[in-house]
Amino acid sequence: MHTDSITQELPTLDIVSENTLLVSFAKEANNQLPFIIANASHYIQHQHPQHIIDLVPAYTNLLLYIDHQRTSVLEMHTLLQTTLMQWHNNFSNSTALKAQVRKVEVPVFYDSEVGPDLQRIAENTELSIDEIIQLHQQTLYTIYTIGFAPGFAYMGNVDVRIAEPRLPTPRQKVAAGSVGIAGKQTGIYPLESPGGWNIIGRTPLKIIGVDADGNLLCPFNTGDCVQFVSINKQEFLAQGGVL
Amino acid sequence: MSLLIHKTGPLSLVQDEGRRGQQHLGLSQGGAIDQHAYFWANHLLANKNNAACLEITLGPFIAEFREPSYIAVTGADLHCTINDTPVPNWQSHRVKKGDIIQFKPGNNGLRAYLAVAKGFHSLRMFAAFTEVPREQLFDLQIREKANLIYSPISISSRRITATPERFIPDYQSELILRTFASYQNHNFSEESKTRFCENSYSVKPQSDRMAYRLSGAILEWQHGSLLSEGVALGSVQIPADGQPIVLLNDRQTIGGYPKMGVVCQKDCSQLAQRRAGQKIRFETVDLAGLLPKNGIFNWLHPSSYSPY
Repeated sequence: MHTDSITQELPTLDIVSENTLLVSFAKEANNQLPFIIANASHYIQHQHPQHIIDLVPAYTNLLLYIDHQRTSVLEMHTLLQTTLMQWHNNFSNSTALKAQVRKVEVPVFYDSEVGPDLQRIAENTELSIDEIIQLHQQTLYTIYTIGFAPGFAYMGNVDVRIAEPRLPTPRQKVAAGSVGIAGKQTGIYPLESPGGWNIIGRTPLKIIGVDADGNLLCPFNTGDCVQFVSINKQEFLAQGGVL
Repeated sequence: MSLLIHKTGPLSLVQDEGRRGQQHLGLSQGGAIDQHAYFWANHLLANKNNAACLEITLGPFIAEFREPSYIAVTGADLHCTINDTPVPNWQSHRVKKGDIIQFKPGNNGLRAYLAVAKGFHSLRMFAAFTEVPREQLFDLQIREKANLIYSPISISSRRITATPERFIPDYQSELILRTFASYQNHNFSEESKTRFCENSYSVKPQSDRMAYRLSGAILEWQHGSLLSEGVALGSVQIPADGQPIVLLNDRQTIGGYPKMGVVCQKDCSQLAQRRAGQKIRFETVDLAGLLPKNGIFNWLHPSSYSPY
């Protein structure tokens, strides 16, 4: 992430349906965009707290859901054009951007005991398991978007040397906390589920939970940076990890 | 004060308007899948717009009122009876302590809504009374012997209310899905766009609260793979086999398939009542044709309805 060199054109705005609009920031994804889009998302939400009820950041754009029983999509289209211009001016002038990038540390027990694909990646890449672990945790990843399942964060970019493609046939069951690789992306399965990513380890960190007020707890947001940190089996178990 | 469940049928869920402010974490919208019928169930009882109702898919569903109240029944015609006496759909009814309500599979629609005065009390999670079973985060599916709580009301003061005829749909008719051409529509070939509007499609059996899968004329996408992006309710995805999929309330928050456009909200409600084999058509429309003059969506505004 090189936030001191961010440049961003004025995003475009399109009506998608009676109650949604799409803000597009670029044609191609890059690892600065998630931060830019997250920043715009917060700005828009603050400007229109009554009328915008959901904001879904993705690789190159941001889908806005409006409360269409209170306002019209045409009116919001007009208002948002002004909002986007304001955001664009503020964003370009901001000097404190760097401080705003949140970094989340994720401990991982990398081992064949919990990473059934480690050995195969080693064979395919002719790297040792230690080298694979080193390559996976040395990158500071960016969260591009969250989706597929609650709390599932798509992070990138994985070092090309270990960017293994998805399994041809997905597994019926992948354990909660499993850390996987799918091409240039890496991610963590929040809950036990079927899945086709190459599993190389497991985190003891709880990826999703619910607080007393019924809100979803999740350590990740689009635009955050993630640092994986290798831990051993004792540490994994001590931090609440389950084998 | 409760409704004691004797029999649930294949799927009975507590639902409301759906979640707000949760999709950025990957939580689905959820909510009553036929928002039109859900709206009327609450409206007939002068409930809040977002009061929790029961969404009963097909039945057989049997339950017992433990205290008197007023209820409303809307949506699919599931041959509702109270104490074995048939009662009209799309209106409110008075119930006494011990009354038994029953729903049985019918031919007109899939999902009935049962509202009670002031709404059911249920577990409120992620800012809504809704559950998306696919997420496996918690399980609110209604089971036998469950008690659904509702508030006491003063019984004497209420009148029976009924939905005006023009708001009552026929779920057996051929449905026209009014679609706003957005997302990747302009990148589809003219031929595919024409085919999309000129052919009828039939509902596949693998249709559920997440998406309705259709079969018919094949639509081709010739521009390779796309990055995932937020998918609006009613998005018409075209996967590699060229058969459209209309995304509904329990859809994932993002998706990477090309999209022909977005089916309007009122027609999504109608689609969710269709059964496997029923025919639908798409018609591309502009926004002016979908919304009242002030542009603000309103379930009571007749101009924004397709002819049922």
